Amino acid sequence: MGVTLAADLNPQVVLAEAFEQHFEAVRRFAYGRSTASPGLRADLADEIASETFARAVQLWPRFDPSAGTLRAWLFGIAANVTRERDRAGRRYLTAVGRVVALRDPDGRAGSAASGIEDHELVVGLLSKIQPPVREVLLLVAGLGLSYEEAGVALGIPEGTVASRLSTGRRQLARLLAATQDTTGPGRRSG
Amino acid sequence: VTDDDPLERLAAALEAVPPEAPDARAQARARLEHLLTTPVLHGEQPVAGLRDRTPVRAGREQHPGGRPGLERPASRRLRAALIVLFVTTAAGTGVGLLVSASPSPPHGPSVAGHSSVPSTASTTTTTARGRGPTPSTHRVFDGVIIVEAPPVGYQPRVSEKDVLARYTGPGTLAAGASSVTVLLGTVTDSEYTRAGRPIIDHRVAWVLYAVGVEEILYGCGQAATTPAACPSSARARLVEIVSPLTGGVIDDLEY
Repeated sequence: MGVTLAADLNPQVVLAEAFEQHFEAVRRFAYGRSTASPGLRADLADEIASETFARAVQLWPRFDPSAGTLRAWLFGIAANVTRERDRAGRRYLTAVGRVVALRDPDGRAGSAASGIEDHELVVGLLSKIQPPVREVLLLVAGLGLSYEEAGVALGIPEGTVASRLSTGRRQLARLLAATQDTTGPGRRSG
Repeated sequence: VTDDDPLERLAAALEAVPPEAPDARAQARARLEHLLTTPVLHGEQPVAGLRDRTPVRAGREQHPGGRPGLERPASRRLRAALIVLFVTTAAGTGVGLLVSASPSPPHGPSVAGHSSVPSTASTTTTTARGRGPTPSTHRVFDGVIIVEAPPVGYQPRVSEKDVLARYTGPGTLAAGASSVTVLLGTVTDSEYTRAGRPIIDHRVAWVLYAVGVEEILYGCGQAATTPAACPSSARARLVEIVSPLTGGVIDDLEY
């Protein structure tokens, strides 16, 4: 049985500071991790980021600083919340998708539109990568977590992080290349 | 953005993620601050508005205390095409959207003089008090969408199966419906905040819009709601959000 070291910390201070430091990163992670349509992804990311910190309060007694950084712990929560929301989101879209097609002819609710921004293109391609690999890509390459932190967040060894990152890099490169083949090289913005 | 490294391109893409919605960060911060200053015990939720401040334990009686029954003129009952009910779940306040394509049953309700709509609407309360409705009155509903809304600061351990079981059994809201869809976790802010201000998530409004709501009956929650805040402010919020989208009628159930 582990000792709850978090008891020595004041969550009111620690989590409030963590919110200021990491809210945006958690939100970006959720944005990239989600498979929701572009029109819903931003709102969903807002919700997930909020829910992550709310859940951190509930789970605070289980936070063990000796097991990893607070940031890694928060991303672990965010990953779980995002997985749950994605499952719910699929039900949601299934439920109303047919109606949207009738009510939303302009595709405001998230269909791919012409003139898509580069970040949307890249994030959209992420959804074609397996979630475990995608999560590593986001945490390490996208948000700058160390292999160790990403491993703590996702509950996997560092070696697995490295392996998935390599896999993800290959897959993402292939997807980007395929996109360029179909749209031309001028898509990137900078 | 550098050209050839997909990981750098990914990092740049995340940097370019659109900013959060206005107030989203402030709301998230307020939610966190509230939680940090309010004790939330495992399996329990401090419920604002209960006079004795007794926490509602998850899994126990969902509707402590009685409430006045639902009394509506029969003529108005027949007009309803959709009911929006805030129902108190074991975990707190949820939202139920009952969608009906046919406002009245083809052969009339099984309870003489009563349309199906208020009968169904009252299911939430009568079930809690042990007066079950007539199941056959539910057949008017062609489909039911139930949106399960976790309350602020409390993540219910519910599943789609749990919610279906909660709402579709005999004498429940969705009993007899030809189809039931349960949406979980899509309206996290669609319940009553600790400040007593109800927030109906825009997704609820979007769903209403998507299904072509023409008329809405609104009833608000039970144990987890603050009585003083319940129908007036919540209804006002509903009107504010939904009316422009639907052009529909908001009809208070006057709980």
